[in-house]
Amino acid sequence: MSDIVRYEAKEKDIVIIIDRDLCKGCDICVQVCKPKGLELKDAPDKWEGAVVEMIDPDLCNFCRLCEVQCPDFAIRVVRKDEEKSITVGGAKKTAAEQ
Amino acid sequence: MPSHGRDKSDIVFWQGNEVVAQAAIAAGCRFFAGYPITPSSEIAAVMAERLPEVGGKFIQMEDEIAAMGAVIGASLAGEKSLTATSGPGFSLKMEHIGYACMIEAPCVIINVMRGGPSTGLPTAPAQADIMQTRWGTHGDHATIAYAPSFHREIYLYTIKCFNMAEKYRVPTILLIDEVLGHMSEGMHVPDESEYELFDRVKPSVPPEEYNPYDARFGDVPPMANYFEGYRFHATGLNHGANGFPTTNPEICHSEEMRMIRKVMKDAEVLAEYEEYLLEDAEVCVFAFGSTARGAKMAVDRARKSGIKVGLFRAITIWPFPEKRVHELAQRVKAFVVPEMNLGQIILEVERAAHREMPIVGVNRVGGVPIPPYEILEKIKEIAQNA
Repeated sequence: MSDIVRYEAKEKDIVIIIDRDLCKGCDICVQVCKPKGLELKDAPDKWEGAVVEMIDPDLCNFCRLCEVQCPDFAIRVVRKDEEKSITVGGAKKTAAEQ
Repeated sequence: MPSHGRDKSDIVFWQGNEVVAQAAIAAGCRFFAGYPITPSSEIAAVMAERLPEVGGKFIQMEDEIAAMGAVIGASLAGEKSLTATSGPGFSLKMEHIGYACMIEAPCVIINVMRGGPSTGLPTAPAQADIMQTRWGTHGDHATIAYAPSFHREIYLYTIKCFNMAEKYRVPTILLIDEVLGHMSEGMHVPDESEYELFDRVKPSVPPEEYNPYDARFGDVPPMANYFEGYRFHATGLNHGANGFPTTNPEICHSEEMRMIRKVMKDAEVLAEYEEYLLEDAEVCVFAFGSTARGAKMAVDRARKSGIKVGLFRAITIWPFPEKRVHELAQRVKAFVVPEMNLGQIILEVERAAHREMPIVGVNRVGGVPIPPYEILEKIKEIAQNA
């Protein structure tokens, strides 16, 4: 079952999508985010123990460095109308338990 | 220039390397990437000539590492793909072979073995890459490898390599040596009715439901090809069913077990061999590849002097035919293992025999095939003491 979180900015045409199963809490996106919009939070229900969350999506400047630098394809940054044409993470609909 | 002999009533007179290439085309191979290396280069030369004729693609890559990369890429795009090399190139390919094992990409690698180690003896035969074929790439992985002895067999087992690669989603290796590769032998080209062709199982679910390593469909997961609408992540990192990396120990363990099990549960069926005069044998000669040809002569000569000896000619090298060797070991008194190396497959014979008994090698390196009289001398010596 996929665990994907969307953060839709109110003032900007930006959606940030995070796949909490792919995120391994490596902190690269947090380090690279200039407006400091991301932070790492403990996630005891996840194997790696920590995943990234968006503090406030309106801080995002759409530089997309988090998406570029993420080693695991766990974060995507798109325009609102682009969202339906991307695939985040693994198969969207799957009955296979991980 | 190599002749093609496409009229099937002909006897063709091909060198072993050409046999490999022609068989690959017959098997449906439509992509070759490689780098020239004696004594395998003729395989590339014939593939370069034949592939455009059948709508395939040939690329000479900058080295054997790149060649293996290209082969894996072509496999992911849906092609039956091939590379051919010898010892030094085989060593270079090792990491990518492991990658192909990990992402379960079907592909075929021909190793025309030559004197080694290192640059060795490019124009002389050897059989010294047996253990490397099994364990050259790091980590636990399954291996399927065949070592035919005759040209017609080279043809049929080249085709079988493609079949097994597709069936088990595993890199499959054909082992010949410089003698077999460069020697020309008359043969009838096998007719299509003599072999079947196997293609990888494709997914039965739509793209948005597809997981590339979905064990619900069995130990060999259905394989989607890129560019057909299915998108999946292929990584050499340990991964779960959806192809994405994981460090979860349970998933990593069970997935690695599956990748071994998918081949090893069929180990007995995969083990192919020929037994000659073993019914009443007291001494068993265990040989493979070109050495087996001389071994047969030695066995015939020994029989003439009254020694009860037979030949076990292994065709499948990996998975090693351990069940049959173990059975034989319970009733023969000794094994003689001629191989063009300093003792490799003999280790598997000892392991499979699993009892105290004389298991002696006849070993030659230095590039000269093992003369039958040397094998005969060893048979006589063993038969006297057994």
